[in-house]
This record gives sequence, C-alpha cells and structure tokens, in this order.
Amino acid sequence: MQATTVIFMVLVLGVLWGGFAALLACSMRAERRRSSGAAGSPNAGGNGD
Amino acid sequence: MTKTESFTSRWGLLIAALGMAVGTGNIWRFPRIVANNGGGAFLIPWMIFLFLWAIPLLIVEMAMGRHTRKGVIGAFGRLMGRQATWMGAFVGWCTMAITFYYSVVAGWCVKYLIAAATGELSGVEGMAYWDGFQATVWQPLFFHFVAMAACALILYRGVVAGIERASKVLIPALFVLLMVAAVRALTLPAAEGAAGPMAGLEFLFNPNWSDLLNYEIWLQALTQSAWSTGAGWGLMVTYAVYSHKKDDIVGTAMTIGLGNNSASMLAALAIIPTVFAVLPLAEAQSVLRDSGPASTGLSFIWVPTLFGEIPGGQFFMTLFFLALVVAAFSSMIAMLELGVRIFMDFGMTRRRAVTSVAGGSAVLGIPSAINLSVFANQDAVWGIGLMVSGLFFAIAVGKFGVARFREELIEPANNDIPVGRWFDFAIKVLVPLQFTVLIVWWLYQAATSGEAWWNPFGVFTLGTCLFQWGVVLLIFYLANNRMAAATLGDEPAAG
Repeated sequence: MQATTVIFMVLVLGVLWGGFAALLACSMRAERRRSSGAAGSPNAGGNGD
Repeated sequence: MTKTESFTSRWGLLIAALGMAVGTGNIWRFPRIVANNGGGAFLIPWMIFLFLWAIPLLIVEMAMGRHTRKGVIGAFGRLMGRQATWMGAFVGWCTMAITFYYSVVAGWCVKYLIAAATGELSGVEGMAYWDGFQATVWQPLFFHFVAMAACALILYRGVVAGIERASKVLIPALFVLLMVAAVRALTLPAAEGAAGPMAGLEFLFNPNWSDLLNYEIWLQALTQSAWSTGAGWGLMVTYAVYSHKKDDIVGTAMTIGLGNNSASMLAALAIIPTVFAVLPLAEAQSVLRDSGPASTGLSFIWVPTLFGEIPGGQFFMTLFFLALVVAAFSSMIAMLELGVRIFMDFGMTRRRAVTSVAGGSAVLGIPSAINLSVFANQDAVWGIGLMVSGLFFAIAVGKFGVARFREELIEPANNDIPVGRWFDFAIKVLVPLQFTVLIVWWLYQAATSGEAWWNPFGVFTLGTCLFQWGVVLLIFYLANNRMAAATLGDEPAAG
C-alpha cells in the first residue's frame, strides 16, 4: 500500500472511530458521575417533563 | 393528563438515537456512493458536511424536541407559532412516506437473511434470484408486513421496555457484526486473477485530489451526509421528547453523527475489499458502481454472488444480512415512533397510536412492495423532500432567533462540549446555503435530463416531486388550524 493511502486511512479512521470512541467514553463517564454522585440531581431518573 | 415516558438515562437516549441514525443506508447505500464518487476523495466532503449540516441540524432537533415536549407537528407549532404547524406536518409526512417503503426494504432484508441462513442463497446467480423473488409478488408483500409487525410489537411496549431495550441489544450487535465482517473481508485470500482485498483499501483511501474539483462529489457527499445521519427528518425531535431536562445536547448530536459515519465506514470495509478479493480490478469497480433495480445492486444482487465465492461464504452472508436486518429495524422503530408521537399528541393512547400508524403504513407501503417503479418514485420524491425538511428546521430556528435558541434551549443543558457561535453561523448561513446550492443543482439536473421533466406521473421527474409535495403542502396548509388545535389545545404561541 502507498504511504498516502496509509496516512489518509489513519486520518479518516482516527477522526471517525477515535472521535466516536472518545465521545462514547465521555458520555459513559458523565453517566457514571451522575448516577453515583447525585441523588438530588435533576437527571437522576424520573420524568423529563 | 398522563405523564410522558422518558429514557432511563442519557445513555438510553444515545443508544436509541444511534439506532435511529444507523440504517440500511449505511450498509446498502454508502459503499456504492463512495465507489461512484471517486473513492477516497469523496470521504473529505462527506466528513466536512457531517460537521456543517448534519450535526447542527441534529442539535436543533434535539433542542426543539426537549424544549417543546411535542412530536414534530407540535414542536413547530410551539416554537414558531400555531400558524406554522403545517411545516411540522410536512416534515413528519416526508419521514412517514419514507417509512412506507422503508418497511419494504426491511422485508427484503428479512427474506434474504432467512434465505442466507438456510443455504437457499448459496451458489445462486444474484439477479436471477432477485427477479424470482420479486416475481412472486406475495413474498415482498408478506415480508413487508412481517417487518412492520415486528417493529409495531416493539413500539407497543413503550419507550423504555420497547425502544430503549431493543436498541441496547440491536446497536452493539450491529457494530460487532460489522466489525467481524470487515475483519473477514480484509483477511480474505485473493481469488485467481482478482486484485485482492488490499486493492479495496487503496480504492477507498487513496484520494485523487483533482476529484475534489468535481462539484458532483460535493453534492453527493452532502446528500449522503444529510440522509444517512437522519438530520432534518424530525426523528431526533421525537426521541428528545423522552429525554431528561439537562441531558447533553451537543455531545449527543456529535456522537450520533460520528457513530453513524463510523458504521458507514465499517460497512464499506466489509464490502469493498470483498469485491476486490473476488473480482479482477476493472470488474470490481464496475460491480461497485452497479446500482441495480431500485438501487438494490450491491446488497441484493451482488452480495449473494460474491459471498458464494469466498470461504465460509454462507456464514458471512448470513452475518451480512443479519446486520442489514438489525440496521433496518433500529431505524424503522424510530420512524414509526415519529408517527406514534404525533398521534399521541393528538390525544391517542400509545396502543391505539401504534396500531393506527403501523396499520396505515403497512397499507400505504403495499404499492411500493408490489411495484418497483412506485418504490423508486417514492424514494426519489420523499428522499429529496428531506432537503425541504432540513430547511424548515433552519427557518424555525431563524424565526425564533438563532442566538436566543442557542442561549435558551441549548446552553442550559449539561453539555460536555460547549456550543459556540459557530452554531449561529451554521444555522443562519451554511444550512440555507447548502440547501440552495443542492436544490438549484437538482432542479437544473431534473429540468435538463431529457425526460419530460414536467410530467407529474413520471418516475424520477421534477414534475412528480413538485406535484406530490404541492398536494401534501396544500392539504397540511388547509388543515393547519385543526392540527394546531388538536396538538396544542388552546395554548398561546411560541417560546
């Protein structure tokens, strides 16, 4: 495979898969913080209305 | 008044929303569009439009749904004023009209999954099998009803026990299936005379920079980005109704966009190297570009033929069609829920709303199930109609005030990523500009295609789009006050 192909592939997959994985991890961490920390949190269960 | 159900957590919303976005378009459409538009070069505009069109619109939809707590008709009425409910109705109709024939595609996927698993697809000639399947007429119809009934059963169970629970199984399963298929494709031995799977990677990731000067690549990238992420369909408005007050909007929208495009890339890695592993270079490129009847080419015509020629072909073909079924169902659930939410806003119970929406959609999908010309016509008319839907969202925010929308509806959420002023620019300038360029290009193409462009009964003509949009818009405009009263009651307008 040519070097350009490899570099381009790493860039595209890095942005997409790396970005997706980072955002998923971020939302999981936030979820864990919320569920462990806040009994009185506005997000801890209940209804959205 | 009954309370609206909510997803159990932000995670529940996120996974359901990913299910909404990742559909058959990622697996069936994306690899063909990449192949038709320069391979690697296409990926650049495709990623740019993810950030300039899809993510801003997903943010708008989420904020609208959560602020108004109404399905797409009520959301436009509450945000813009009662006189604008017809715009929400058009957005909702576009998506429902797509659902009618999307269920037909989901039915094809179910049929092919069964045929792959039982060995019926092994060693067949793809086109002959497809023709035989369509010629029975009752089979596409039967599987369309099966797909509709399966999704309706999930929706009967409600938001948490139905949508969220199903998504928590379907979406991780889909990503695992795609990953397994991609790894298998990349490790296939090259058949005699074939270019080999690495040639597929070269094709996919070696950009020819001069292709970026071709405006069609940019337009196709925008179209794919808009349609594949579900931005502008009203689906996120619907799911956001069930979100919690402070759930992250910006991070969720970005995760949906990047997750959707990641799934598309996995699908491309599963299909394109397989084609190059089995066929010689020129033939592989020609197969990838073959759209087939009603754009079925790669998935329903070539996959049975190609997978028949690789080691363990039946197993991996079954895996492929299982991924297609999972993707189709997870999106169809969201599409039907859009209609269900609207009917619940009109005062129906969930059970009655699901029965009405699924029953009506099953009936209205019959013409597409038994006639591929009707299918192709509806795909064109309402697929392009989604551009108008996207513009309607931008107009709604513009009328409310873009800066006010950001400050009051987006920024108060627990956003992990702050939304900056770029959002104002994207909604005020970029989305309308992209819509204008795309629609002008499409009008020009349609009017110069050689076919009688004005014909309202043609399959792909400009006339048929304008005629069907016009009829729907007129009906909803005339019914505006009744829809506003049914959805919003006596409440005063906006804000």
